[in-house]
Amino acid sequence: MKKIFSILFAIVFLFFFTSLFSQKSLATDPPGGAKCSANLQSEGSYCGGDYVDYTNSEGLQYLYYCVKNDNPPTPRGWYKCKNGCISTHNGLGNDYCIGEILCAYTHPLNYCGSDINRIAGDPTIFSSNTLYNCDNTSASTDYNYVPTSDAQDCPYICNGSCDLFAPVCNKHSCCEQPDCAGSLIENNSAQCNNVPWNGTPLHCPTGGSSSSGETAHLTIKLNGATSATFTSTNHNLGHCNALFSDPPQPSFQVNGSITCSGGSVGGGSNGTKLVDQNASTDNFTGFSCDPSNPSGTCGSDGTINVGANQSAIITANYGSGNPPVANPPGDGGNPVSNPTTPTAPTLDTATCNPSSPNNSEIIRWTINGANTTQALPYYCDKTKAAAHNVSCTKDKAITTADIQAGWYFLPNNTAASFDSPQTLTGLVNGDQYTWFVRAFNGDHTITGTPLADSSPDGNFTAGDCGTQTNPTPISLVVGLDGIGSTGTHRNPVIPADKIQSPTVTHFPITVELFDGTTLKYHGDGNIDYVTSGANLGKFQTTTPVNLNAAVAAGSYTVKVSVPGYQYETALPNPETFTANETSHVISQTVNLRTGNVNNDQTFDVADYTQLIKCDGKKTTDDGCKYADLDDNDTVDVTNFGFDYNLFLADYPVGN
Amino acid sequence: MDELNKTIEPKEEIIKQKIITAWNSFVLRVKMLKRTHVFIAVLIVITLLLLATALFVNSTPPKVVMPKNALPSYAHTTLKLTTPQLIAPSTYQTTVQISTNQNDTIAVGLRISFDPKVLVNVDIKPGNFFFLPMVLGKNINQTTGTIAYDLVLPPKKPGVKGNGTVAIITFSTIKPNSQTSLNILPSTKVMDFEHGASVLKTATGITFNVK
Repeated sequence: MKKIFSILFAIVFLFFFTSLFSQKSLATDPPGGAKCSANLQSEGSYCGGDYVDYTNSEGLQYLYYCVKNDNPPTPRGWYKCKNGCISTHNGLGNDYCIGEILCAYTHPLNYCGSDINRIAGDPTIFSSNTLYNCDNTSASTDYNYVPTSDAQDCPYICNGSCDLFAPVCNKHSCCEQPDCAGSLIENNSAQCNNVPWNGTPLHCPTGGSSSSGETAHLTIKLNGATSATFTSTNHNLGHCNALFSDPPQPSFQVNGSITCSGGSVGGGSNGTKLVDQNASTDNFTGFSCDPSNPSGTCGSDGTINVGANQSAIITANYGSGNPPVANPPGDGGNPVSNPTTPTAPTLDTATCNPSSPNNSEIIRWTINGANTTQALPYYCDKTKAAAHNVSCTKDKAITTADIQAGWYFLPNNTAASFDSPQTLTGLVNGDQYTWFVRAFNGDHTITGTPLADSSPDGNFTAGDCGTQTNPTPISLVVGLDGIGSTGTHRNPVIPADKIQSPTVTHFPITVELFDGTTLKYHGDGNIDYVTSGANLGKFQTTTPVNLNAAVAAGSYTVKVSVPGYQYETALPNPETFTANETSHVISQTVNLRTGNVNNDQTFDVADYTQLIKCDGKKTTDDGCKYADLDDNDTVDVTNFGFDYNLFLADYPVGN
Repeated sequence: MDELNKTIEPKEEIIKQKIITAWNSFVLRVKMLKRTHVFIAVLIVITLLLLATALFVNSTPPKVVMPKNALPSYAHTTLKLTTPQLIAPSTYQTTVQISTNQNDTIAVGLRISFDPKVLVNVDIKPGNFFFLPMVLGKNINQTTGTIAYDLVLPPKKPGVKGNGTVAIITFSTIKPNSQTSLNILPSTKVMDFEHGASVLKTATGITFNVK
């Protein structure tokens, strides 16, 4: 009996003890039993440097995990003491500020100033002199966003030593690298790509001279472009040679001048552009360098050698030629060649006009290198021409009596404003037609100078609105966050002069059409980086994506997936398809979030951990293929690296 | 004879007294035994009530065992929601308890469901398991009744091993005298630095009676 009593008492005692113990474990005090000082309440305070797991040279300026007893209460956060923090040096709390608590930055985005922020308008931008975001929530309104001129001027992340606990960022320190992240690389040291460089002075490595064998290297990096123009103005080079180069590259042009402290302009002996130390001014205007045909001023490696004691500031601006094209993946970094003229227009579709199916057709094309006001679509009735024993003939006089039978016409017989798509009317039902698009150089009138014609010509039969049985090809333009002209999900626009060409210019893509939640159609294809025109900096389907079947008329939810990027409803509204479309163009650009680091179609903490595991690694390293979000060939995480910030900016929790 | 009688009478009285004393003692013992039995019965009833309350009435934790085909051998971490405590009128607080066992954890992505017709004003904040964590994202959908809360350690921070409160959930109730649940969804993940997949082994939600 006594044993039974003992067991029962033990059960009762343990139950109450467990209950009491459990209640205690619910406490929200920070580790170490810290307590708040007099002007704080709740969750404990302790000077940052004293906490066992946290060391920081400025830790004694901060109290952590406290709530200021204001009205309304300042939320939980990290608080800076105005005059330092008094610590008991045991990590157990009872620490307090000397004087007031200033504020106030905390997770998840404890930035120290506007200059480290990437894009103006992003709610993660903070003024460099103000500390923000006390409440540790994700709502954008909690960030007290205050746009500043600095933020506008410096839309790139700080890639330097922006100390979270010493907000001393300034434009220079934080933006130096992005500013130089252009086509020019000084001393081959900066990791820059394809953004105009605005003039970090060229200098000799040690301030020596050409006679001492020093050369200041300024690499003009075209990333495969066949043509580019650089403009130079005054620059104090010092007493050494300056070497402009980007071997290998087909050609480039330099406009501008280099002012020297005295003397005359000299020439290089090995085909390089040389300005010696005695030259006063070397005018670079119109200077072209073609390494395939080296001259006295152009080296076979495509270099210009600027002599010692010269003055110049080099500003890189791409000229009227093609902007640079990044290398295709896997080519070892060798540049690709582009034609020197804008790419000819390409014909996309000619589809029956549902509103007037017998005598009207809708034609669509992509303008590519030419401005949209510089292109004209032409069409000709082949059936009619054949009936009059002539053929549709471009740019040639037809001498037969039925001269008009072989003419190409313009829509509505006018040359005014031709953007794709255009509707051709007044067609003869059943006649076969041919059409093409001509790009003009600066003048869209029919008397302008033709620049390029689409090829081959397109063909269609008027009134051919029969049932479409072939799979429907889909064309679309995709913006990949952080690449080219696409910013973050919150702010998708990158200024034109800040566009950086990616290293990877080709991605596989999957397009899916859903009717409600039911997958109806799907297809795989590819997208390629667009190097010119209205879609510069985006990716588009060079070859339309063929779906698995002809799409029935209706509205569908479009989902687009690209490895490493978002997989979700890509367009805000369903896409409408009409009956019998032989092809379909999605007119709205699809922007995809980046950060799907483990490429599992979801965004979650697994992507985050994979990203930080890849810090400092290359995309060729195991598990890091999709971790280089900004495509600069290195995964940057520490010191609020670019990839890290891009990940935070695009992260869609709960997706 | 009278003398004899006189000598006999005291002996009988002594015996009689002994019998009475023994009887009284017996009665007293019986009474004491009854009290003990009553006390034992009371204790048993209290114990059973407490056990029943603890085990059956107030919380029936729905346990989510992560799918075996997705459960790697290195997954040793468990998550558990504690019984909600009334911290203010109609306002409760529950905690998400983590036990990592051998795993050095650096991130927790919680996906929790609740009945939006019963619970409102739902909020979640970090517990003290991670020191100075970063809230990667927080999304409380009152319409669908879901909490998505991603809590991570900043880069270069060592992983954390042990037991503790990883998050604290507060909510109000609008449907008294009902029973409701908070469930940890299978999409919840716990990450360590070493492995690419979640190290979460089991997750246990909570069912409780709303007062």
